[in-house]
Amino acid sequence: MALNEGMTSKFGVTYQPGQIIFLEYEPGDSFFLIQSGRVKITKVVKDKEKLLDILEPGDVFGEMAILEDAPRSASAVAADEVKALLFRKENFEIILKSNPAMALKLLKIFAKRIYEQKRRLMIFTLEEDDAKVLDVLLMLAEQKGYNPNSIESVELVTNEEQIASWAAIKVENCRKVLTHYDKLGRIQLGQNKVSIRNINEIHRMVATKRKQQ
Amino acid sequence: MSPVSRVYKAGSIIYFEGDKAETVFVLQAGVVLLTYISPEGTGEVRENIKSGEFFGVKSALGRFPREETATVLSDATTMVMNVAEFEQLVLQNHKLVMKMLKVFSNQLRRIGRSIQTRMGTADSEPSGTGLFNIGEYYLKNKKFNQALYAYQKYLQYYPDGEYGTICLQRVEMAQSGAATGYAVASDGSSFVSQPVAKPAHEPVSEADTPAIDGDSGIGIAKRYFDAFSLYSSEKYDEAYKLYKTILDSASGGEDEYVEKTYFDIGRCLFNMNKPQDAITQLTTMVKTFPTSPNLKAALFHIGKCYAMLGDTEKAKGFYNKVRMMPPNESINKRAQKAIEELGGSV
Repeated sequence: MALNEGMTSKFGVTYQPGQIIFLEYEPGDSFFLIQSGRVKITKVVKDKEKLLDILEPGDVFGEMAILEDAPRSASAVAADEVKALLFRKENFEIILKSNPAMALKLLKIFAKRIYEQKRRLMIFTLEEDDAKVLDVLLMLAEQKGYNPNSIESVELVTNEEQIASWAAIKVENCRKVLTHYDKLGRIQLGQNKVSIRNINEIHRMVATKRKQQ
Repeated sequence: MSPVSRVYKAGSIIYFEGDKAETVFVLQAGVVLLTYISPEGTGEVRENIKSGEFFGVKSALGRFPREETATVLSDATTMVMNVAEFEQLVLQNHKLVMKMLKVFSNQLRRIGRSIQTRMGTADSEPSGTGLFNIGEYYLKNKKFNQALYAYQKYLQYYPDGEYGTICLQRVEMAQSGAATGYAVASDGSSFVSQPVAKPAHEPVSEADTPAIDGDSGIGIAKRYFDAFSLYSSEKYDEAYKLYKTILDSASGGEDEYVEKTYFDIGRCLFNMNKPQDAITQLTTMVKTFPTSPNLKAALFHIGKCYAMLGDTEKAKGFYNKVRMMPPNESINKRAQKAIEELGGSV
């Protein structure tokens, strides 16, 4: 995205590592475009702070509070020294007018996010824990760009806690399912690693479960 | 290449769900129906496209397969463009982008809420309460800077909010915590209560805006925190003495600190190996402040005192009270564990 120096001097902000950019529930009237450094997105869920995402230069965050009058749904904390552009609601339209490339970029980000979120929601429409776990693996593989119809092995960097959290099931149940499929030879469990022997096999198993419901 | 006009007969399909998406459509005349299975799993959704509306935008822009099937209900004329052409159009028409951004943003929020509901993380409380509870969470977990930020934002956005007074005190505690690094008790039974649903106490002063300087409530808060710091650094004798002065000088309207002080004195005495005295203090606290947020923790400590005295039956009795007391939280589990350790069954 072409951003001239004028924008940096006008809207540039800097955060130190560990500094809070905003907290969940805080009313928000600004959004950010990261120029350098990384930003952690966290949320306190059931008395535990969870890391939802790590954003990188070029990423936009906080934009939803601008478009709708809603408080922040998660917290943003600088992971490194972060340089960002900060835009306020008042000048949101003006900025988009003067910078249509950014508007387009936002539109693309939203389209992609809607797709990803819908994909997550599909996991919950499955009834059984083992179907949910398999669908999480499938989703993670898709996110890495694998075609579920291809006969390929896929290596995922993840662990049982993460998978349980995606599937919204108990970690011990998730572990049981993973161990079961590991014994069957369909997947292989490693340290922070899950290898899928054949992604198409998983795809077909999930599709069958979906049809049976 | 430039956008082309394309005519479809009634009954034909413009694209199927799962098709590769390379084009964006604008309906110029006729009726087009989009059908898709709701991602929430609640069946098929049907959506009519009206003349002048875009369709097929998300999948083309996001470069993923079509998520819906587009069927022509009555003869339709469409304008078809590829992604590059659509981008050109958008770059020239910021009103169109704003409109689409709002639609997309709405969808995102809706899906996000759906996911959160299923994961059991939906925000069900009003924002002010949420922000205050975030502060409580961070204070409890010794992240003083985060706690401070949350409390200050609360005061900034909700100056007349129900937690205003308590926030002022929390700010002081968080500041002190950030400066001295003195930890909040690791057993969680300190002055930091669980998320609260209603104000934990009445405002200290009658004034419209609480005074920060010279307010007796803040003064006692300071002393209380000093004592608590001593307690946290395991200087129980010194902490005990300072706590005593709080009880001696406290007047009306400072119930919150009096109650906390009783509780902490009880814990001090326990740590000073004076379980009998601790029981006396904690019993007074429980009787005087039956609705204290520290009630469970106090009963738990009474149980610990009895266990120390070797009176297992009484210890188990108190642990059991804690175990049965809703809501079910970590202290209930600790109580259950304590009973099991004493060789009892639950």
